[in-house]
Amino acid sequence: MHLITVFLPKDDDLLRDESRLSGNAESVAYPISTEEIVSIIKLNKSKITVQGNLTGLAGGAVPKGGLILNTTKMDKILSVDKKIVHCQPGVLLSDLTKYLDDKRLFFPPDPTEKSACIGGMVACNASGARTLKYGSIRPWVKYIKVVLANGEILELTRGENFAEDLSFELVTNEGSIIMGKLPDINMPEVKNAAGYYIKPDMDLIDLFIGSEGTLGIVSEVKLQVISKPSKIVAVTAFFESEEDALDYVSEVRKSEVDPAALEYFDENSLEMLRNERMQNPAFTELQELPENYFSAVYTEIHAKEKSEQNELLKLCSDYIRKNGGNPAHSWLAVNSTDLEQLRYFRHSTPEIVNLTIDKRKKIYPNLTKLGTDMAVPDEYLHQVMNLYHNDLKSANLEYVIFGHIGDNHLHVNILPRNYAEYSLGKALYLDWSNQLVSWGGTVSAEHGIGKFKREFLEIMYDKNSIESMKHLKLLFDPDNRLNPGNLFKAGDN
Amino acid sequence: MNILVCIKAVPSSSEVNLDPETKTLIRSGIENVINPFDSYALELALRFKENHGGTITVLSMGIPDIKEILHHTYSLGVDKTILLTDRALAGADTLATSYSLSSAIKHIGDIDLILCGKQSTDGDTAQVGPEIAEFLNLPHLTYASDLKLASDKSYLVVKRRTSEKTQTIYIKLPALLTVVKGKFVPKLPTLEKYIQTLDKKVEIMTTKELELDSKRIGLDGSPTQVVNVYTPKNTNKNVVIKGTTDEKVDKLIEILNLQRSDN
Repeated sequence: MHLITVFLPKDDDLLRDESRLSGNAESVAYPISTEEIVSIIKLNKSKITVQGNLTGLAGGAVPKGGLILNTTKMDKILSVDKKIVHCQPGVLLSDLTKYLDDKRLFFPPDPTEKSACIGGMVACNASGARTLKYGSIRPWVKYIKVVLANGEILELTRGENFAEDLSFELVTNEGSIIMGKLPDINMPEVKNAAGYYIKPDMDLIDLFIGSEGTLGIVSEVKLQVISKPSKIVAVTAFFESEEDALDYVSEVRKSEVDPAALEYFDENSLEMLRNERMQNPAFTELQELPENYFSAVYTEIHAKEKSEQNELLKLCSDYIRKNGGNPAHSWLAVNSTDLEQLRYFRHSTPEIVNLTIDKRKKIYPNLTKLGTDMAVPDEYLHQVMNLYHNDLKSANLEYVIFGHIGDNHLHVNILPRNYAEYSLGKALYLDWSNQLVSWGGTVSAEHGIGKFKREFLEIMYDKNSIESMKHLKLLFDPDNRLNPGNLFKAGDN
Repeated sequence: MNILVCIKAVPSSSEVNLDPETKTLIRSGIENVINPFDSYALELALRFKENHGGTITVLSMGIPDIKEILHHTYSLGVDKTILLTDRALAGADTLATSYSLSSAIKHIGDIDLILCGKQSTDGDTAQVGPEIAEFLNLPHLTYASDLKLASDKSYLVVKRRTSEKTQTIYIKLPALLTVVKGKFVPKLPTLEKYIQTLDKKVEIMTTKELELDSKRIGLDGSPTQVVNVYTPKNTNKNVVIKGTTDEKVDKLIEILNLQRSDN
């Protein structure tokens, strides 16, 4: 069996991911081990695009010529010991979750896309609804094995390799020393997935997490997991105004309630859910929405025992009431069936958006939704919402705003009705990026830069910073072979 | 009107194991939830109460662990919950279960309408509801999907939905209905109601309070026994037909012809 095969029409699905970007390739490889990755890298001298399960939203896995190295056959969970799971990068999040669930264990970062694989999640420092309490995947990654562009192997265990200020030195298993200086950049102090993670005196494992496969190929991962919280409960509270909902969020996230997740639905999202529930058989199982409410917040609470759960729910109820909500109209889920109902409600919004766009694509084939992934510091939450609504209303665009409001990380989804509206929306997206960065925000909080958002990275960092990031990449990958086009334009190095 | 809803706790997961000796479900360590059909019955009761007032009592027979599930129904708007629990009742089949439940209902007294789910998702027999009605000598209807109070308030107008047809039937109260999924999605509890009812208690009933014939309850009172439980083998095969449209059509015709000659 050859490790590398010529790209054939049957491999067409490997040319695109969920970003709907499309690429091209000459050959394909499906390694099953670190050793096979090393062989592939030595056998093939062309550019390499590393892929997982192609669920990325930024085009990071879309090939730009050369070889596709798809890791989905590296799908073994190797061991679990003392709450550390050792696995290959192609393990799907859904499989990991199921595996852990049987052992009453829990992987706290909860990326929404369950068919994402671990390698892809490490590559873009994935996060999700529960990032509010547990952070992104970064702190939970305790070890990685990385195959570098020259075929040498680097093993990094958290807590073992640190930079000295911005200087660093790493030794490969083969004995080569990689020395260099990290770029002097200021990362935003918000949930962030844009560009390299760099801080003075940093743990060097963090350099690779979120580097989108540009520095090396992750071939093994060890993840920290925890005991499953014995009580997971959730409340969806409705508010008469967005102002009230935002005030509730600002208070409750800093309180003893310590929400694991805070998710938002704006007026347009609720209206869309109401309409679909009435008209579309696929959504008739949605709960009947209470009338005269124009925004909603989903609050998820994790507790060790029932008494703690009930105390936290009482506190949550007080915050809802204090900020204009009504606990008598707030949905509660304390068992798995009811939690599933609330999750179904939460996931219906993006699903309806996608269905709507699919319908419009029949008339305008190149139309896509415009989804933002930006976040701002806490103090700008009210301002950023005003900015979005004002601009979108003046432009007369159809849109919904939902998502991870606890991290001030809202997804604005613009639903263009034609190409002119698409361009209008895209221009707004760029305008907002400039504004949000000036507030200390990020252009990508969870999806990464990939090939889709490179121009946004240039808004976040000046030319010199980006140049120094490129130099850092060349230190690990002198011929720019690994994932060319991610973060920086291909051929820029 | 006083409504009594029978509910059963069933495993939330479909991946449950059977005790190799007794062939009954191993229920420990698995999250239990209200049998989905019973939650439709409860939803009909709650909506009826919203429109006409009255009280709702929830009754279940099972192990003490399921108290929490009964308590949960308070947050939906139930007035009283009763758990019939006793070691002597363990291992009951549908006949022994409905005998015990009907005795409990007689003991509770003053009930105008009894609602049960059509069947449970673990046993799937659909026998307990009708059997309770027989023991209590009440008229009953299966497959109820909606109900209204008739203008003559001693009758209910029941919508009955089977796989073949929908019927509207008048039934004289007191009566028993077994309920299927109707047009209503069971409502979630509200945060307020949950907090308000935290201190409410689930009433415990044992065989001592009931005048039961000990030969008709539990495993000894069960004329039916599960001898074996197995998953039937799926003999259906998926076939992907590849090729040009003409080739695919030819292949499909060939397969269909082959099946016809097999039959």
